Amino acid sequence: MAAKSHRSSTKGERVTQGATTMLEVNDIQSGVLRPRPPSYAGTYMVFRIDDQATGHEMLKRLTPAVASAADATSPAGDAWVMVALSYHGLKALGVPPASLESFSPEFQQGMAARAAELGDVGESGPDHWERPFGTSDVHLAITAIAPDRTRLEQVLERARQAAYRGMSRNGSYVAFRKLHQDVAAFSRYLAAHSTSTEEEEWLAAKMVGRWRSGAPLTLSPEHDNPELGADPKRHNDFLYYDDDPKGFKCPPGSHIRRLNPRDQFKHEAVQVNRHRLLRRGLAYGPLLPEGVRQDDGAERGIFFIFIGASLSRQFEFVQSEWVNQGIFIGAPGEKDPMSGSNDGTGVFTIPKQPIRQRLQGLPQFVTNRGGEYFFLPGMRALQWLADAR
Amino acid sequence: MEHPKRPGLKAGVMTEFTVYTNVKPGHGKAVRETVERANNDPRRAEAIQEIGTLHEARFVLFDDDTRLMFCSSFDGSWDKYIDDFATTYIANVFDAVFSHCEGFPGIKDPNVKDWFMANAREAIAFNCAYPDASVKEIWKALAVEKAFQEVLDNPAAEQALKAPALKPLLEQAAT
Repeated sequence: MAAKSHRSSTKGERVTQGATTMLEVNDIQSGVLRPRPPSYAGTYMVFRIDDQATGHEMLKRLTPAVASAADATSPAGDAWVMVALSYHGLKALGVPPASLESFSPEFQQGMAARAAELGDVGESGPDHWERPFGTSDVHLAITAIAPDRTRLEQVLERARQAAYRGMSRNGSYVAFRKLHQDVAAFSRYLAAHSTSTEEEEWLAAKMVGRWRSGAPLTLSPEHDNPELGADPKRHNDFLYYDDDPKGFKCPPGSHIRRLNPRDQFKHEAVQVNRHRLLRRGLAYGPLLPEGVRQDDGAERGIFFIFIGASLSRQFEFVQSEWVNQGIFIGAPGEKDPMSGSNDGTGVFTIPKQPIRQRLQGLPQFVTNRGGEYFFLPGMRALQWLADAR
Repeated sequence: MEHPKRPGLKAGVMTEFTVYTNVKPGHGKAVRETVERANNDPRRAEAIQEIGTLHEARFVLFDDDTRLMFCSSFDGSWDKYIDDFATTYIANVFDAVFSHCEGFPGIKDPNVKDWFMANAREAIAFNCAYPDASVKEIWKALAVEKAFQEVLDNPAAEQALKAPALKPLLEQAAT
């Protein structure tokens, strides 16, 4: 959130350092603070605002559907709707230039202009993005999540019926990316580098840092533990510095240890807590059936949604320094084996006694099909935007 | 709105970064003393260890102590991590040294990056004998070399290194 520092802390998750600030929860859009339900139906929509007055009217109708985070009996019940605006969207709503200029340079430029910084090259480059991503037509985004399809429809119906001073208060920046996952390629890679199904699972877990169930390697290094994976009180309750300094359990180059190194650098100058990501992503597309190694052509992946106070210090920093580089772990040439912009020559080191294992020839498994930076206003600011004339 | 270009030439993973500043009139001696004090502080080595990306850095007073140069080379880009350093010992040293320089807003000031940018001058050439090696890799390489020499000092090494898998190591063992 732009005005207030914030730490996402699920029950049982150990935090490393720093003080907590009281949040004005009644002014924060509900989806920011609430994780999505374990099983869910969700969707997102993007709009272009052609006419200022119509844009205001639309926001006015949307605002009641956006549940306040403080309200347990919100209009949306167990579902939530978030409304966010891009720089072009704020402009289209007639937000005055002085306010527009107060937003961060990255936000003003938009995600496509930041492609080099983010490693969005080749197939992930803006030239290949699905339209309207990468154009100035993406103005307003609505994301809705509910425990099931019926309740999602109810929320959407409500949303359909319904997209300076301190506008950034209790607002957040959002980075949205439609990330296509080539599951068949991942599966083929695992098979080509393993001699058994068990080894494939082990290799996949080492790349991710968690087993299939979500159980973290740091707590269950030898095999999956579905009970642990399903327990939100325990599956995030671990640190690295004392328990796994060399990464024999969870490799320093694995996906989750890169994205959040926790206390790994507590004796280094880097302040991990300044680079945390609050994510609200949703999976899309059908699962690739077990054992299928050929791509079925189906679209599948995740809608990656980052929410935070700073695009540059949080999202872009993690993407450029920790996902697509390895200087921080002493391996400059290595990228995130899962989501890094590898090109068929990627390397991933698995610390192992007596001798480390090293995977070579990693291709790109995740392609960015398009994205944008948005601003997620606080409830009062949303009202203000809707009322502004 | 454009991002200001980051100053600093790259050589492999390394970047060079140099700032030239004007010392406040009469503060030359104070700069010298502050730098020397920091240099003798036992926390200096620890601080460099904590940064983990700094290859080398130097302060140079010149033009009769009226100007100060800070010259460094490190892995990655300086502006990404600079804010993280605001609470470290190194930041205190910077604060103490540059407070004797004209226009320095203070290390905690939100505009401090702009001040460094404004005073930075990019090199016209930057060469390094080991451009692809990061600080952490060099530390690891030195640790491996130390271990290798320990192995060679063991009388059993000659026999052990004859194993076919160790051929590349045996080739390094003669000198």
